[in-house]
Amino acid sequence: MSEFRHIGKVRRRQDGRAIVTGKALYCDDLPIKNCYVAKVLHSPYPHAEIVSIDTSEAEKLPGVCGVMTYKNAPDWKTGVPAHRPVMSQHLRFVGDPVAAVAAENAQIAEQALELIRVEYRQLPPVYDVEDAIKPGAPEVYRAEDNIESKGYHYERNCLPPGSWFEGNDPPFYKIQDGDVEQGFAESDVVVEGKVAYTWTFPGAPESPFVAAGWDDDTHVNVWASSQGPNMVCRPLAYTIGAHINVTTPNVGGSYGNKDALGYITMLTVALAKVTGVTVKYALTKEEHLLFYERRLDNKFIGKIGITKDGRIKALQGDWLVGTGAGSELTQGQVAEGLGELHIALNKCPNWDIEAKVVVSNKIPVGIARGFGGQELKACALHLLTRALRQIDMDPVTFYKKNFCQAGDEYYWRTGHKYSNPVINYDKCFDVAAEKFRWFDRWKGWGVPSRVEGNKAYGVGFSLHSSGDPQSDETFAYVRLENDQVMVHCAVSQFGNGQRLALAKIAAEILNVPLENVTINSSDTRTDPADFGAAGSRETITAGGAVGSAAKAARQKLLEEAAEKMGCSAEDLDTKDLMVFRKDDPSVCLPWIAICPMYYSITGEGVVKGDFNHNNCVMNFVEVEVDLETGLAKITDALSASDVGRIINPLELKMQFEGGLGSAGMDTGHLEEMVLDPVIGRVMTHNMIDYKWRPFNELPKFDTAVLESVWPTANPYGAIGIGEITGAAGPAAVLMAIENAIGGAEINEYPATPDKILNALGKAKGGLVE
Amino acid sequence: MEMSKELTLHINGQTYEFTIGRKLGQIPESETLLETLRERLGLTGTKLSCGEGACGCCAVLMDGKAVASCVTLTAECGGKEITTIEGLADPVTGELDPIQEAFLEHNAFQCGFCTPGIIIAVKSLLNANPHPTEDEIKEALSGNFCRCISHYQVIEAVQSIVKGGEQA
Ligand code: FES
Ligand code: FES
Repeated sequence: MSEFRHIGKVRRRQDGRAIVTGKALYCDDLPIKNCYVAKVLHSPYPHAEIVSIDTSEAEKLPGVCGVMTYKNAPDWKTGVPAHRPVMSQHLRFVGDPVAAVAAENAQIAEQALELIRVEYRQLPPVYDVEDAIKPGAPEVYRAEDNIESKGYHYERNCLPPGSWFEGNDPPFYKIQDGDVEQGFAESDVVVEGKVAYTWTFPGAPESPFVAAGWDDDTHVNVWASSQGPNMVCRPLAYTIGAHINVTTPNVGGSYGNKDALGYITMLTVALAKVTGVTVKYALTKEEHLLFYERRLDNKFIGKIGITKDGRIKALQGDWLVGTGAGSELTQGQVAEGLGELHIALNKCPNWDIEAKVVVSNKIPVGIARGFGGQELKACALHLLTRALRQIDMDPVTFYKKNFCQAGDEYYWRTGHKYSNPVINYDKCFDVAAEKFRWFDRWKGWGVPSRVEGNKAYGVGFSLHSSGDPQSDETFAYVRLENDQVMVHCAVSQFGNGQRLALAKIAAEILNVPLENVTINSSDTRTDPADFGAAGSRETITAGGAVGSAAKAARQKLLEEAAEKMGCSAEDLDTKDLMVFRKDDPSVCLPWIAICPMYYSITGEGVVKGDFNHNNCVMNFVEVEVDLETGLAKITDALSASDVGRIINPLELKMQFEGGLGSAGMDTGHLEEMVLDPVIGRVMTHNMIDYKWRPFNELPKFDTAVLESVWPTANPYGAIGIGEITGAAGPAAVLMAIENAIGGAEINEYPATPDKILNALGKAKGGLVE
Repeated sequence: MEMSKELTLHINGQTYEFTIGRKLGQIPESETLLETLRERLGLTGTKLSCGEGACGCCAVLMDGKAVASCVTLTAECGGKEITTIEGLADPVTGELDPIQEAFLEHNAFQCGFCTPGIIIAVKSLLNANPHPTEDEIKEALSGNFCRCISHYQVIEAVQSIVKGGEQA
């Protein structure tokens, strides 16, 4: 049992009552005064050029206050490196914005779109990463687009490597360590192959929303459905040379995918500038599916060598990363993906793996949880199973031998190596495997755990670890006023319970009831700078910054009380809004006597961040495959971690469960976007055709959680895991499916019935070539 | 000139008089109940997600049964008793509906965007079947999508009401 008053205890979320009564305000619920409505005309073609565009009739329509096209849009670009313009004459995917209208209401804006006359010239499209890098492939960008970074240039559908993650250091897009040829020579088993992971839709229920209005030439107000308000404003502010204030109310799901909102914020801010009004752009669900940034797709073509006793000796490969028509931060995902692979296969001495970020005429790629590693590892670790099968070693045993341990060094997103002397997940492997009964259920590679009639069951395992949980800067301050505690830290409400965690930390340190703590609404006008919710970082960074701020405020409170009480601060303690002498609690003073009516006591806190604290989530799954229909289902799942310290028990459990959805674990067998290759349009552009998990199809779900109290900047030794709870899922699911079906190989995600029947030799053709 | 039709709406115990037509301030035939609730009446607790009847985020009660307000025309709601998430708590005492209380108690939400629709669907289920089995609960909620995967806590919350034998 925890020794704490709030930490580790089940507490109601402070915003809970608003949520269950419908009073919680999400972006589109806000009363934004004098706000016009934006609607966007999208390219019907995957690749085309605008020959002519006539917006005069649309502009004349009463109630329209402006139309923006490539002709009058500001000359801004977003993406990494800057490449995606506000509007372009060159259209690069079905959905690429052709024109944007601001009007008094949605109906008028839609009518105006119909009055815009456009003549297009179609160009040949390209969709597949391998096709796109072939000589003679249609070029999605061109030399005159001047896409350059750190001396590297766009070339033949490949974007320059690297991102702002490396600062001024060289781009991190490959790992070349040791000597792979020697590694292969020392290996007992060498496997080669290609595995592909498809494109998917994180799919927040609330579609992305941005509203923007200019106060004057240098100040913009933005309302955004973002999990990271500073991510929305800071990079864009540099691009446009104006200060941006961002308000983020409740966010209706994000899953990493509504973080920077890079392109649509730029578009909305530009439209507000062109039209001179405040304008809101609330994407429809169809737009969300057709044109908003999705998860990356990729192929890994590689070679892996291991020894009979399960030591990985060499890893070589080309990682072809599909970023569609644009990269919000794909090169950053490459850097973290490489790091995540390096943590998982940390004992491998010889590496030669190189990534290419390839553009195509598919939807651009944005930020999504799992952030590069989910996609790369789904492929690279699946290829590795071919080698494990040959040496007949189960994956839990193998990863325990090869995973990064305390003191081992791993690459992270700067291209440098990092390490932690204490954090170690050895015990987690054992506890979790035992709880899942892994060694009872594991019957060998390609062997089902059991068969019941037509139903075959198999188990799979994978794991994920990120170097981000203590990354980057977060600032916070805590104000004590009368008997209230006010916390300022730019943490949005998007479902993970982080704001409750911050309230608990402040309440624990100041030893007050939770009801006396208010977390300021997330707003860059009043909250200090913060990198934002990403990479599971806020448990440590926001928790640490708020913890330090609360401690500083407490210290000042005691000092001011000491002055009034004629003693020293060291003699004093505080509980339940009273300051008292430790040696005689009857000598006391209430907070309201120390900070009366018009008085503030403020403490500041900061966590500057590093990459030396890696989290870990292990996913164990059992699947059932119907051998007649090829339908696979997850029947039993267990997710495990050592989180250092549990802050919110229920929310933690729900974060683990959340790994099933939002293009996580379920991308192993269920979720995918489907392209119509003839018209280049996404066919799965509604919530019926894009498949995901409903209430009546839930697996049994369990967790195993250890609390080793890690040496992190969180005041209680916690480490966050929210980002990665589903990241290892797809690899575990595909492994389990292959075991269930007797070892037939599937090298393309997701393992839908057609692919499973194909692998079983029961069906030919279909969507699989 | 087309004739204006009168439309009386009963929403959360209030009566509203509108006319249907295309003039400013009138409700066009094509307006959805969701638009009327959110844009005319400021009842923003009902959420828009898919906009095509697939996800349940916009559910409201019509004569005690959940309907998708995004595919329901306001012009067809005359004389019906509509209850939105804002109308579930006792209007006088502010006391929450037992379903809302159970959702709080069991933390049956994460981002909360699907929550109003799910609570309405549960209300509809319990109106028709006060003692559903676990499978009946899951079946009844199968039209409500929750991307955060709050399902396990939702089911626990609903079961707690059914077990508690309280009148939902
Ligand atoms: S918004 Fe109405 S059912 Fe999805
Ligand atoms: S709680 Fe976020 S979608 Fe259900």
